[in-house]
Amino acid sequence: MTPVLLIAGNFLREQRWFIFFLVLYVLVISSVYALTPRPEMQDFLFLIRQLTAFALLFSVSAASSAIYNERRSRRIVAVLSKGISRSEYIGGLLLGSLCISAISCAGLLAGALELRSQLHFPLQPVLALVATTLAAAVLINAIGLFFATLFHPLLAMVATAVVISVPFVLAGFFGSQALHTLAAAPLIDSLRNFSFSRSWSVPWLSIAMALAESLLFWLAAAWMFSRRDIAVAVE
Amino acid sequence: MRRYNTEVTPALEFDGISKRYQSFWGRKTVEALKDFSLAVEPGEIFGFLGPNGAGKSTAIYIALALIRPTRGHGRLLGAPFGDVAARRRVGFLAENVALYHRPVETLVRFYGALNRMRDPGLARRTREVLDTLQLSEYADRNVGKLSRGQLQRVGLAQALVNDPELVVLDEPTSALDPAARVAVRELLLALRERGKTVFLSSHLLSEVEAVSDRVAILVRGQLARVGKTSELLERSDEVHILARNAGGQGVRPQTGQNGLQEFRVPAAAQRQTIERIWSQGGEVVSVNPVRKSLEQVFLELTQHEKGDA
Repeated sequence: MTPVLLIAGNFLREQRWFIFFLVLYVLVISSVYALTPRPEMQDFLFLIRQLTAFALLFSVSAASSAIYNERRSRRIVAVLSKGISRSEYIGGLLLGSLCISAISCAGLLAGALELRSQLHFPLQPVLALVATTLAAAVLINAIGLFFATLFHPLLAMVATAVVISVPFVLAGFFGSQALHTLAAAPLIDSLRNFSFSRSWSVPWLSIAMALAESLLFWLAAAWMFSRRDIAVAVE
Repeated sequence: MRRYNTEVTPALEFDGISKRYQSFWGRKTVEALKDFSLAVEPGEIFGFLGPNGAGKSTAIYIALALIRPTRGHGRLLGAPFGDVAARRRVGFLAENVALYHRPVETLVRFYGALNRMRDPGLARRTREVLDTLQLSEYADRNVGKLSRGQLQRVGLAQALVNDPELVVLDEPTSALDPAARVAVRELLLALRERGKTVFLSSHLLSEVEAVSDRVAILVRGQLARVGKTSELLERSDEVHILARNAGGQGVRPQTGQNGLQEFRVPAAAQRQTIERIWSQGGEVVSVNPVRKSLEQVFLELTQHEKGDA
């Protein structure tokens, strides 16, 4: 477990400026809303949907580029020559990228607490939203890392977006049940439709499925990465 | 004198390793290693030589499972290549070392922790290697602010922090000044004294010659020569005869001083030359095979291969 934590910590350290600006953005945008004389609930819902989207996007982009950057700088050579397996390395990157999502969600939560006194909404759905976002982040980052073991980060991002889009396309043809072909789709759908009304509920089954699918993608990424020649130039 | 025991489990063993690099579409292929076999014994300093592009780094990366061989297999400290537990007992310094920009001590601790070292052992060992490599005064300085030579020493520190049984060094002294090179040479000899195995890849042939027990020369992905350094440097086709009161008719010395004459003759003419010295009342003081420098051996082998190509 320790190498995983070390790799995750190292990943976060290398992404420190990225995280700093992400947190800064979340806090500034939340403060702007909080300082608005009469904030509207609709605006707040737009804000938290935007922040959940950022939480997913930023973490997957950081995760997808991590392997490429480490290989290009050749720093990966000293790390993987130590007693650390490729699965631990990928696990560390996954944990690190999840931490970026978590930091983003913490900012979201801080913003929600700031606005709560003015908009008077219950906190429980916001916590459920954070849990849903984190579950979606684990799966999307695992998919992103899987493709990052194969492709350039940009291509990996595109491939991840395509894979996540497939259930939505299928749903257009075969109905909403097709969304469940990949747990990321119902989770994103749930985040997109988040509201404080009773009609929104925590997609527990999709969260459980997302965790199981993340495990599969992590194993696939580790297996694929173990077959890669990582000391070869990536240019 | 060191003895080489074939029954001892090698510290590092390549067995019929081939590696072919392919471009993305498979149009271009480069065969970096061709049926490469080699065994490095525990406790020896093994020099690994070859011209640029000979496949030295590829062989090292395969041993550390950073690259997969196309064919063949090998063992690192008795375990198949890729074994994580075996890699924890290995220290590696790559050519053109690339490290994270952190304070030196923190960075060395990070690499030690990756090998599952824990405090207080890790803290003690980190201080030890920093002290050995004269880096203690830079312990708090960020790696990004160090000179190339200092960076190379930090690279050595991260390779040695886990007190490895096998140390694999790819050009360890390329960026060091002469004093630092001598220090590294002494460090390698001290490692051997402690029973460690050192696999040393370097272009500095004089350095390899000075410390290595055995040497292998790799040319175009194939092993061109392997053997004890002393044997490799002995020129079997020429002998060096030192005689006194020689130099009469038919026996002409190349050089002479302090009343001694030196002869350098083909091995086939050794007996004839000695007999002539004796027949003229001379005295043979010594007969030795002519020694070459490692540089000469290296150039002969690599130029010979170029000629073949």
